Amino acid sequence: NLLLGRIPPHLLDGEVALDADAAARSVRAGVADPLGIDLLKAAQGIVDLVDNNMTGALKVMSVERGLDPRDFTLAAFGGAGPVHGAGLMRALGAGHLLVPRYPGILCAIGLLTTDLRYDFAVTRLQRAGTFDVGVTQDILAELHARADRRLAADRVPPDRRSFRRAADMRYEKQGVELTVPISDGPLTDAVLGKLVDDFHAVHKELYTFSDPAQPVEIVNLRVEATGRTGRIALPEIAIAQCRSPEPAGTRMASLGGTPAATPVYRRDALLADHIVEGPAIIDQLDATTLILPGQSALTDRLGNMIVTEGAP
Amino acid sequence: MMPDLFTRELIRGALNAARAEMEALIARTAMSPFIREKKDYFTAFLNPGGELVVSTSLTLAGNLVDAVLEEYPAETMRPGDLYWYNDCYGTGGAVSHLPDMVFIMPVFDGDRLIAFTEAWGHLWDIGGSVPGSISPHATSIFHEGIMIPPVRVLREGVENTEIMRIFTRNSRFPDMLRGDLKAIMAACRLGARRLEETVARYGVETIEATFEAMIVETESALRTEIARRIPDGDYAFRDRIDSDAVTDRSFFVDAVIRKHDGDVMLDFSATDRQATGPINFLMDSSVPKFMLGLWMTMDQPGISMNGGFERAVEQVVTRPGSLVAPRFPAPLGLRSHTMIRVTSALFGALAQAMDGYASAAPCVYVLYYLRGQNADGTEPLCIEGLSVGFGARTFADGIDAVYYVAQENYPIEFAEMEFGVEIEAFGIHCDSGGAGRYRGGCGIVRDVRVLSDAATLGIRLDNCRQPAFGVRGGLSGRPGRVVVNPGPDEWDIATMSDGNRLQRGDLVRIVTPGGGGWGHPMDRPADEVLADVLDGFVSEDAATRQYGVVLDGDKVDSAATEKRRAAMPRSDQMFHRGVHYDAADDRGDA
Repeated sequence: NLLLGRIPPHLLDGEVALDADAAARSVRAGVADPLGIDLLKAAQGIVDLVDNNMTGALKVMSVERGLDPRDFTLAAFGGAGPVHGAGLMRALGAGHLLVPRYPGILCAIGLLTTDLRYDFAVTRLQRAGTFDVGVTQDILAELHARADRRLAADRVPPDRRSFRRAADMRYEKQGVELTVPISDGPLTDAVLGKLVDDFHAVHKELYTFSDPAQPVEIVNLRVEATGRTGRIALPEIAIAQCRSPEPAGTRMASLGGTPAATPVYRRDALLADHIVEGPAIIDQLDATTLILPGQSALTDRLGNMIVTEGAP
Repeated sequence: MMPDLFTRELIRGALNAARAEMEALIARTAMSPFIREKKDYFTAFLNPGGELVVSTSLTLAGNLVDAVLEEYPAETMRPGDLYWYNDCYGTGGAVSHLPDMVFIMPVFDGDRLIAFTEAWGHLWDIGGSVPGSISPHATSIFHEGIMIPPVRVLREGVENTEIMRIFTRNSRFPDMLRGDLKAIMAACRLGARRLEETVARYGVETIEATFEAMIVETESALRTEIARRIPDGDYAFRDRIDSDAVTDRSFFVDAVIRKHDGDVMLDFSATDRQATGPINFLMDSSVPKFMLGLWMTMDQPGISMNGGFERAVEQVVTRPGSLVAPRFPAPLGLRSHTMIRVTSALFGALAQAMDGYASAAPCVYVLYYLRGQNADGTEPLCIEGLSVGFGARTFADGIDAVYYVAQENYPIEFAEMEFGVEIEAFGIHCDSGGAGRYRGGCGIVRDVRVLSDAATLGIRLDNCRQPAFGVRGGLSGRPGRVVVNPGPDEWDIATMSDGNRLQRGDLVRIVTPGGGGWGHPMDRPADEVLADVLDGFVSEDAATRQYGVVLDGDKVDSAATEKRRAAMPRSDQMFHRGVHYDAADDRGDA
């Protein structure tokens, strides 16, 4: 990517310099010279192979399951994802490509905004006809207490803690259990009776049939604890007056097979409703995004870019 | 009009995803260990003519639909119907032993029959002379359980409960049977629903054209490979089976690949007579075609195993009354012993057509039947499938410890909870894989302690007298063995037998055989031999004697190895089973 000009000769807005000469020596010695081809052709070959491998992996998740990529949007994240995203979208025939505002830290944002979740479970096989309300109540209470201590240790305030109880159940002789929620409140024979009815219903829902005559077993008891964290409201960005932004400059880059002077945009200068037409390179602190010839990228109110083939 | 490649790939993906879903449904809801743990089932979509379009890659598919259509013509079928059979002889070998229950559901678009969806599973007990239904001592198919001719178990979604009551009354484990049947029947309905959704999306003409295109693609792939790799001529090979467990006589399968003017015929007419014991294999003509097709196209994962393989091979010849075309009511319960030998005989014939570039012989998978009896009246039934070594390939070692295609062994925790046994050891059978440039796969060792008060053991373990052959310099695999209470007072159990009496505390050690090797052992890189020694697949002694690799601690002594290897003889005979030989010697050809 460096030799092809697809990424700048530095990372993190210049904080980390890249050694283009070393890259050239390595590709020349390892690929270009042994194959008797020129340096740029070798570099392009490496990128094509990598894209081809990633396309294959994406097909395993879509086409090979009968899911049409045209119905889906490909999401490109991580610092390097948006370098390849446009090419993969084209190879796969995906409908759109989504490049989030901060691709390099998307996972970190997710980590900070997701709820805390703990599962506590105890295996205690109860055969049909031997369900014990007292024992079950005690186990669930103990699990609840452990879950509550765990959230307290994470300093989740009491009003942000919630708990759900459930049982893993199966028909006698089956080898795989289904998780069935247990309603809140005191545990009674009636609650356990309803639990069995619910198991039949869940089994029918998931597997298309149930067998109410067949004995049902409880294998595990569970408490799922959630500590709700605060949501981050992503700031909206300003709306552009004119739909075509001005490039910050150009860079020699190979986006369509041959090196050409390619417009370079600053991601933080893009406003909502801006449309960048390919070929184009969009640099930002945490990632580089390529827009191929024939593609266009529309920026939305949250700063995400939606890439499509042709006009948006 | 032919749909574009992209659409065809999407439809193929949708069908395979639907099959995966059907199999997950069966595995998650079934109740017998065979189905839920061992994964002994087969799902498929077929076209209205009964040709496979996509399926599980097991070469036992037979010709699944014709037997149903004979009893219930297509024009009488309606949406929501479900047809069922396990009758081997009554269906001409559509299914090859009784425990496999086949269910077939027609799928419609309006009034138009567009496909069949199919699921079969191996049931735990369907009556017969012993718990578990299959016994190495059976001498008639009537010993092996109840026979269901093609019947209609659902009519427009309504169950014929009378059939179900008659059937389950004939099992020693009726609840388990009912659970398994519900799972398999639900899988058929799910498959039909998924196909209907696919039709709704792409249109019936596109689906039908894609089915045909997939079959043609498979046919063309196999025809191309045959034309490219098999020269015109006759290639004959005979492979041998230890015993039929009843008469203690060895049997043989004889395969001839005849290729003339581009047409291929598979001729099994010189195969041995049918057996008294249950190793007879009622072989549908599709089976050897699928074996040939899957092997010849193994490096083309995009090719589906389907009716295209049948179209690509002109003819299969068998002789009535032979091991591969037995007469009613010969027993069939252990037909895999002959089926695997059909595969290896084809490999042997291919080796001669292709200058030795065919796989070495795999072993027959192993099962044991431990029928416990307790003073309190309970009778725990343990039927476990055990893995063996497969033959070395022309480009890689044989697969170690595998059961048939890829069925699973039981988790030990589960076996101990349900079966009245304790599994004390489970490991690799060192040195069992035939030595070669590519090593045969190794078998396993499993130690089973009997915890029932008393028990009767049936065992089926082939490749002991007739170990898996090696090819092109590769050596044969090492035999297996069954020994009780290993130590000073140990005693051997015949490897094909039933009715062996055991009592609480006895330890049964089952040692399974390894596959044949490929290529000369002295051509195997010494560091690969060293790795096998360090991992416990090859002993240091065998490394020296069979591979000529001399070790110095955990390093190779290169000088000593080179010297020893230079002195080792290189046979140019094609096959090895104890001794090097050529196919013609073994068949008694002039």
